[in-house]
Order: sequence, then structure tokens, then C-alpha cells
Amino acid sequence: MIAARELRSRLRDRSALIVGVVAPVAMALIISFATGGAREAFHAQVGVVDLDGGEVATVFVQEVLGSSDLRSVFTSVPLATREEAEAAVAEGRLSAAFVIHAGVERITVLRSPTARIAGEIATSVAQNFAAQVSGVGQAIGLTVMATMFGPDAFGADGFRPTSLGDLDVDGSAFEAIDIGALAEEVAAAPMPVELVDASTGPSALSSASYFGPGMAMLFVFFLLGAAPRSLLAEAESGTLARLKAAPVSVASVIAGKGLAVALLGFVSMCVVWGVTAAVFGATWGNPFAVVVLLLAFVLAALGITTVVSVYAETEAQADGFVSIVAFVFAMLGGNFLFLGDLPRALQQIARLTPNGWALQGFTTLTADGGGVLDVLGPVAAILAFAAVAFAAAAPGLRRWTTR
Amino acid sequence: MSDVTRSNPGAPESPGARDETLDAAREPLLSCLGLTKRFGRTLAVDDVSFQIAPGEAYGLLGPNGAGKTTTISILCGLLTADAGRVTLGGASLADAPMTVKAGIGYVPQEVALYHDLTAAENLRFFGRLYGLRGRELGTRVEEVLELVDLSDRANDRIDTFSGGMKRRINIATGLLHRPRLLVLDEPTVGVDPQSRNAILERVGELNRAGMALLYTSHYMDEVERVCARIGIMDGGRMIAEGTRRELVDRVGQADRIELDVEGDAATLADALGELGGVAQARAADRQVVLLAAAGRALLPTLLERAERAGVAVKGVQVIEPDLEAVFLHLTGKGLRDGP
Repeated sequence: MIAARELRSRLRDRSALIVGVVAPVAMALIISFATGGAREAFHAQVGVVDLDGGEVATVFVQEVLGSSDLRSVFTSVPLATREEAEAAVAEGRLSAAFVIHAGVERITVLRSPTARIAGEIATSVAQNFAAQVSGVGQAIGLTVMATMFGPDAFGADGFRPTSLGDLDVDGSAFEAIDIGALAEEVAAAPMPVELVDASTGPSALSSASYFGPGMAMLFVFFLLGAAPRSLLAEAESGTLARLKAAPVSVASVIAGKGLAVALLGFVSMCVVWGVTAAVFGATWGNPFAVVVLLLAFVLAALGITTVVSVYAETEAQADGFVSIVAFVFAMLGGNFLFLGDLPRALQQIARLTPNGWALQGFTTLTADGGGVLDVLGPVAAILAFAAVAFAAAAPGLRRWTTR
Repeated sequence: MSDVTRSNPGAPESPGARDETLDAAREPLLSCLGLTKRFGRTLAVDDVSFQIAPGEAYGLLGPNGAGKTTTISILCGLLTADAGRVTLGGASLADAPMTVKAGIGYVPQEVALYHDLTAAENLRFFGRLYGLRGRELGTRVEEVLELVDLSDRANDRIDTFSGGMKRRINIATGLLHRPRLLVLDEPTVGVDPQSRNAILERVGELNRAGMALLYTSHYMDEVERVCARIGIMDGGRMIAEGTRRELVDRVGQADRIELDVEGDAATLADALGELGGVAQARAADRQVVLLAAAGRALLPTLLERAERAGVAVKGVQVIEPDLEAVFLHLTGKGLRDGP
């Protein structure tokens, strides 16, 4: 009987439907979309700078990158200069770029720190191509040698020429060349492939440096959700009525609670910063810029948790709403996956979340060694989220504190 | 607007009923005029007016849903009235809300305390909200704890307290800043008789010490015991106001006799109405209701007439004049029946 009553009560609660059905479905869709598990396979845009202009380079562009297998993975974008390619990769317009140097003496792969999958595939493609070019070179060399010295030159002890065209050659004058060793030597020294991370910063972006802020952002939502939840709890317990009866303004009560949890949220993010730096060697970037980014994000997250909580009827419902928003923003914002590895559309959607902007800011600080001025854009965007959220929460707060 | 009585009936009837009722010469401490509050289509408070003199104990009596808590919420600043005016000591709630709030000690119906804090911590927190600081705050905390006999539990968390003890701390919190008016909203709901008695004792002492009270309850006996003047609310309206004596006089000094009957109740009512000493008789469903000067003495005659009329009497109840009877007289329903 009690279970039936509780079940009826839960079903009447709209948050049960949202938390139990809508959120899991939405999360499943987002994850499928992000990992390409549903319909869309991995695909990235890569740049190609052909500084050679010869046939080998043409083969690489047309036959390798243009092959049916790689066409489904990469879309090649021809570029004129290495600098142009570096800028495109650094800004995230391209996931990686190939620079084929004059004489095809080496291939440089420019990789984005936030598009790891594309970078790995590009590296693999370049290394395979280089190995094949080296193998072809070895085969051509042997064919030329056989033509010049005749098949008898290849004795049991290796290559020892006995003739050179019509001339007899005293093979004993040559030291026998071990063909197998020669092949191994050639194979071991293929055309060099140079890997370059397209960041101008002091260090490449490590997982800890990316996911440290990401996870701090996710969990600060739960922490900050405590402020509006505690107001709801006070309303339910009656202490809010007592606070409202006291000679203090309701606004100051709300502001006091907000300030307390905002401080707590900021401190918690700083602690994550310290721990990831000390334990995992993460670098979050210029400390002053990091603090600015964290403060902006805490404000935005406080606004968002407030707006979703003030329209809840109970503390439990508010809890559910905050959890949903925290996870959806984390998923869309790139807190669980490198933003650069996400499909293009999701990279754009990430900009609809403060998480996405914050991660862009942190990536700029870490990978490019930027300072406060370099993250002003993301900070402004995050503060805009905060302003919109608080404006949307205001009518709900008013209605809710006067009921 | 409600029918408001402002005369002093003279002799006190209860510990709270002293010569403190409002007269024209005394400036009211609290004045509520034409308070109206609507929640959607529900008119929760409908043009309610009353005044409380300095040091007076005023009771708001009415069933659940009568509008008592909404009225209190308006005058304590928790709700904004759609119409009407509240002043405390001449200060308007609309114009000087902080001044009015600072003069009121609010004791809500729920135990509005932080259960993870100790009694002293709770008191210190709420005391600071009212501007108490330092030594003064510490002294007041000790004083109110002593007043509610909980000095020895000052450093215990509220969640370790019994229901009655929580209620006492709840009241103590409203007293910290020495308010001019203490507003108590059903302060004894859910407490055992012993704690209830202790609470009423303390509240009476506060009033005797000169503190004005506004006490709401749906328990008639509590209001009679604590308050000198009483306003009776029903359906959001103030339906009567005055001292206990004045209110009882409205139904006369007659006892109310209720006969549960089987048979022709209307005929029996007519027959009983002709008896000497019966002021009024009416039939209602399977009941005959009489107003008579001496109800108990009349019972044998009533039963005899019923038997003669062929009506079986299944139950008899004699209700002597009290506020319950007043409420019944005014509304046709009991105080605990609700809206």
C-alpha cells in the first residue's frame, strides 16, 4: 500500500518523467551522435600543402588521400603554405594538415591538440605512405643493379658484380653486399615523417589538462545547485518564512546564499586545479587567466542552476533538473571528449554551452600559452550565459519567494 | 467589513482577559485595515480589519482554512496584501517594512529552526538578523533559553530535541529581539498536553509582563485562556470580534441541546418549541437543535415529549455557551469542521 502510494506520488512528479525517461534518452542520443555510433562515421577536414609539386606528391594527394577508404575519413583541403596550414589547424578550422616538402624528402603532419583522432590517423597515413615510397625506391634500386650487373651478380653470399654491361669485372675486388641487410637498412630508414603539434604554447595539451577543467565544470554544477535547493528546503521547513519576517530583504537572503555557494564552487575548482597539477602534471595555463575563467564559469553555472531550480516545485525536483542540465551541458560542451574529435555540428553546438566556451578558453591557455587577453572572448560569452540565466531566474525567484 | 466590538466588558474571564482592550483613547499598537488577499480564484482574506492595543493579548480563532495564517503572513511581511493597510506603532508596513518587521516577533506554525544547528546557534543566527551583536546577543540568548527552561540544552542540536522542546525554542527565537508584538501562529500544534500547558504558561507570562500578543489557534480553550479579545474568522472573513463575554452574549446565555432522533424531527421540533424555557427549536436532518436557558434540567421533559410524539431519541448532547457555540451560532458548523 505504501509502495503504491509512493509510486503514484513519483509518477505525478514531472521530474520523475524527465529524470527517468527524457534525460536517459537524450544522453543516449548525444553519446551516439558524439561517437558516431548511430549513423555518422568519423570524418575530418585535413589540409595538404604540396611544396614538391612532383608526381610522388600528386600520388599522395590523389591516390592516397583520394582513395575510397580515406575519402570517407578525410576531406582534403589544398593550401599554399605551411603557415596557412598551421593557422588553420591551430584555430580548429582543420583537424590536421600534411606538408609535403620539396623533393618529398619528408612529410610534416600538423596536428591539433584537441583533434587527437584526426591527428593519429593523419600520422598513420603519412607513415604508411613514407614506408611505401621507401619500399618502391628499394625495389627500383635493385632492378637497376640487376640490369647493370646481370643476374649472376647476385650470388649466394650476396651481391658481387662480375660484369658491368659488356665489361668483365673482377668480382673479387668487391666486397659482397648482403641484399637482405641492404633491404632492412632501407626499410629502417624510410622517408622521414615529422610530427608537429599545431600549438604555439609551451606544452601540448595533455588529457589531465583538458579533462581536469572539464570535470571540475561538471561537478561545480552540483555544488552550485545547493543554493537554490537550500532556498527550496528552507521554504519547505519554514525557516524561509522566518527569514522573510526578519528585517532583512529577501534579495539579501538570496544573494547571501548565492555568494556562499559561489565561493565554495570557486574554491572547489581551484582544488581540482591544484590536484590535477600536483598529481597528474596538468597545466591549466596562466594562473590569472585561469582565475578569470573560473570566476566567469562559476557565475554562469550559478545562474543556470538557479533558473532551473526556481521553476521546480520541490527540492527533489530541483535536484533532478540540476543533474540533467549539468550532464547535458557537459556532454554538449565537450567535457567528456576532446572537442576537436567531435563531429563538426557538435563542435558548433558546444558554443551553446558555457562549458564549450570555457574549454575553448582553457585550451587556448594550455596549448597556446595565452593570457587573459586571449580568453576575453570566451569569458564574455560565459558572462553572457550568466546574465541571461539570472535574468530568466528573476521572475521565478520573485514568485517563489513571495508565495 | 466585519462587525467589530470595542467596548470593555469589565470583569476578566481568563488570565489573559484583563482591562487591556482597545478603547478610543488608546493608540493601537497594531492596526490592520481592510486586508484582502487572493490566491488565484480563492479569496483567502476578505476585507479583514482589527486592532491590537499595547500589551493586549488578541486571539484569532477559526477553523483550518479560515484565513488566520494568511492574515498573519501579511502583517509579518511574508505576503503582500492585494488591498489593505498594516501599521505597527504608527509605522506603515508598506512604507517602512524593516521598522515594522523589527517590532514583531514571529513564531511560525512549523518548527522553523535549523535542525543541524544547536539551540544556541539557532538563536544567535536569528538574533543577528534582528541586529543583535556581541554581548547583548549572548545575554539575550541566555535569557530566552532560561525563559523556555532549556538553558541546559543550549549546546545540543535541535534534531535531538523532543517536539515540545523544539516548540519552545521556536517561541524563544521570536522573543530574542524583545518585540513589541509577538505573533504566534498555532504554536501548540502537534505537542503533548504537558508541553502545551508549558507553552501557554510562558505565553501568559510574557503577556503579563507587558508584551502584546497575536495568537492564532483553532483550539477554542487556548484562545480563551490566553487572549483578552478574540476575532473569529471563517472563510477569509472576520465574522465577529470582542471579548469572550461579548461573543457568548451574541448567542444568549442559552444552552444548546442536540437530540439525535429517528422519526419525524420536524414535528418534534415544533412540539418542543412550545415548551417553557425553550428559546428556539429547529429540525436539521435527523437532529433537533434547541436553545434553552437550563438545558440539563429540561432533558427529562424533552425525552418524555419525544416518546409521546413517537420519535426515538438516539443521542443527546448539551452544549453550554462557549466560543464553539458562538462559532456554531454564526456559521452553522463546528470549529474543527474546516471550510
